[in-house]
Amino acid sequence: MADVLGSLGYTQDLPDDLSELDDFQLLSNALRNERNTQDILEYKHDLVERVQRRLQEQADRVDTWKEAGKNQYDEVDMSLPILCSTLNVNRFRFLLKAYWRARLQKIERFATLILDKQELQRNCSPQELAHCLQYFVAVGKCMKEVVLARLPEEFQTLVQESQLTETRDMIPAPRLDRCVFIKLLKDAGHVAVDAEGTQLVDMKAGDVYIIQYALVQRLVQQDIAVLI
Amino acid sequence: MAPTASLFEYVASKLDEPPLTPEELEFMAEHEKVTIVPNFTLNLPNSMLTCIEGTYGPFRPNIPVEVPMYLALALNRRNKCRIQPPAWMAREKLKAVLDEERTIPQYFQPVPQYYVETAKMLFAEARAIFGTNAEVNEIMDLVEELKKVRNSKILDGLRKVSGPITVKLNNLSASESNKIRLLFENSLNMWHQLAKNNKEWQEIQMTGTMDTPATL
Repeated sequence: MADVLGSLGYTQDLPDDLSELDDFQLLSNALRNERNTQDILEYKHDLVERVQRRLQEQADRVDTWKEAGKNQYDEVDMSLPILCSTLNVNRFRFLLKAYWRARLQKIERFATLILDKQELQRNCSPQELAHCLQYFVAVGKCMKEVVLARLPEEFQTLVQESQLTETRDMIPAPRLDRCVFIKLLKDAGHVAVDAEGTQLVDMKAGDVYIIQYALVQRLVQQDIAVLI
Repeated sequence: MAPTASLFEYVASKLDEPPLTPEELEFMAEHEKVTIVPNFTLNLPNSMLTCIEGTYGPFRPNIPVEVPMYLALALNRRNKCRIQPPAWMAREKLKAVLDEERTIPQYFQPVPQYYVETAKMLFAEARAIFGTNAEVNEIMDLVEELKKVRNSKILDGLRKVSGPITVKLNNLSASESNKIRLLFENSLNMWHQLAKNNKEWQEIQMTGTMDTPATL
């Protein structure tokens, strides 16, 4: 394996704490994973619910402080807690929205594939599935009216190139063989780095590689590594 | 053989752009912890601030406390605290890392993941924390030197890449990997594609049948 840029076994002096990640880091890891690959990843139900719940608690707390500030006559200056909490809330709202937006973009792009495959549907949340169906129906209808109805009979399908081909070959699928930057959060043991599975590399926590996504898909799904 | 492009692809696919913009990297960098010395007492029980990801505190005058960067900068803007320079930005430490970086051309030295963004934010908003003007300029120059040396190392390494390989790039910071991301990933993708085409061509040669070019 070409060790062009890399080191072997060089320990980091300034470790980012790789084991104890707080919610912000977990959510930003999830966002980076979604952005860096076309694969439909598992929806982080627990994380998102926990963050939403705490967001609500924090927002309520800020509201009570603001009310207290208006009603009381004595000077209890809550401006600093209000400021800090509002900053915090805004940052998390941005992260959540970016996460959802990244997922929705991918789901819209591969809507036909998702509606076809069960295991991809398992990776989406119920709201995302509903959106996927509605999107497919709406865009499909638009395509049919604008373009397909004016084509000859055999070419009027959305998912096949023509009625003459047997398989549905016009369904876009995510490209899993594109290269990604990956960072290991935990030791991952030996991982094959080429398609035949001949060359193995011992991956340690804290390593950064650029590698085809398909070879490390399992690591990302199990949260052993994050795409940066 | 790649499936024919569907109408959905035309509608939904985006152009090639970096997955993470530099602004978003700065947003992530704002979560890094720095030590500050507040000059106020927080009006909350135990002077602890509860945030969604955890609690920070206690905020009492002249007692150092660790907070995320965005909080430190917001308080600094309102003159409520003094930010302490991070340990890795001490002049001696920077000089040592720079020397190591220059002498060992194959490896990258360990640096904080977001050192570029952190340095930029601190120099923009909190120059005074490093000392006099001369000292601030010295540290700014050292960080610039570090960026340049690492950059040239990256470019040297990129020139050596000549095929669809996996590369190990420890200690690369977030902004540096973003800079080379499009070039590096797309070149590797193209190499993989060419290697795959090569293999298919060879297999067809070996079996002896030549399919018409239209199906290749």
